[in-house]
Amino acid sequence: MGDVNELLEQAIKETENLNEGEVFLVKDLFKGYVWNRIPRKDRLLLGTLFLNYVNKMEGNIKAIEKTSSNQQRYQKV
Amino acid sequence: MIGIATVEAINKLIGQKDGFLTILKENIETVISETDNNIVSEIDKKLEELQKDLLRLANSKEDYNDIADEIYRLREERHKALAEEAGKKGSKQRLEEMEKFLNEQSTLLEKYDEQLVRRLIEKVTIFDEKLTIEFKSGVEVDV
Repeated sequence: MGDVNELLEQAIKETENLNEGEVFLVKDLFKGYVWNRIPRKDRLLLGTLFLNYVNKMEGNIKAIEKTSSNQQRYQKV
Repeated sequence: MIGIATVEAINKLIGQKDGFLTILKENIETVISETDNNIVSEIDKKLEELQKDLLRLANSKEDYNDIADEIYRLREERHKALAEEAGKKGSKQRLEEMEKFLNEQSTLLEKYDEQLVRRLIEKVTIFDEKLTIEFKSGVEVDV
């Protein structure tokens, strides 16, 4: 969980670099090789934690409709 | 030659339209009864519960491997259910298209109609002694 919390912080920090209106997935917030190194179960947990954070904060990131493969999409507003 | 055969096949269907419409209606009802729209929403509910469990286990520093595997398995199942649903919708649409055509068509065709053939016919298979015309609704007619 410790590692995942660090990843969550990184993801949140990375959203600062997004422009208004941009749509993204949690995996887009990481370099490909970093994302690939995250164990599958932790990716899942990270996704859940990120969604919880977004819903709780009600800030400038909004959860929007999921992709056809059921991945949660977000938009910076 | 193939053009004439398709006209003949369509006319065979028009000729037996009453019996054929009954079969089509039965087939449409079968497709509708087999389409279970609840599967995906049931999976979504389960996924939501499992995500809560995932958080609870992670927070209490317990192993969440099994939950994660189950979530991935259900996602796969959801994907399959969606694909199946789309397939059934397509079948229903093709059956309804044929039903509509037969209901609207009161006379036999006199000439080849390219648009109609594209709308109704899936494929034509040529054998030595006959041609088999397969309609998009699934019906096959030999001429």
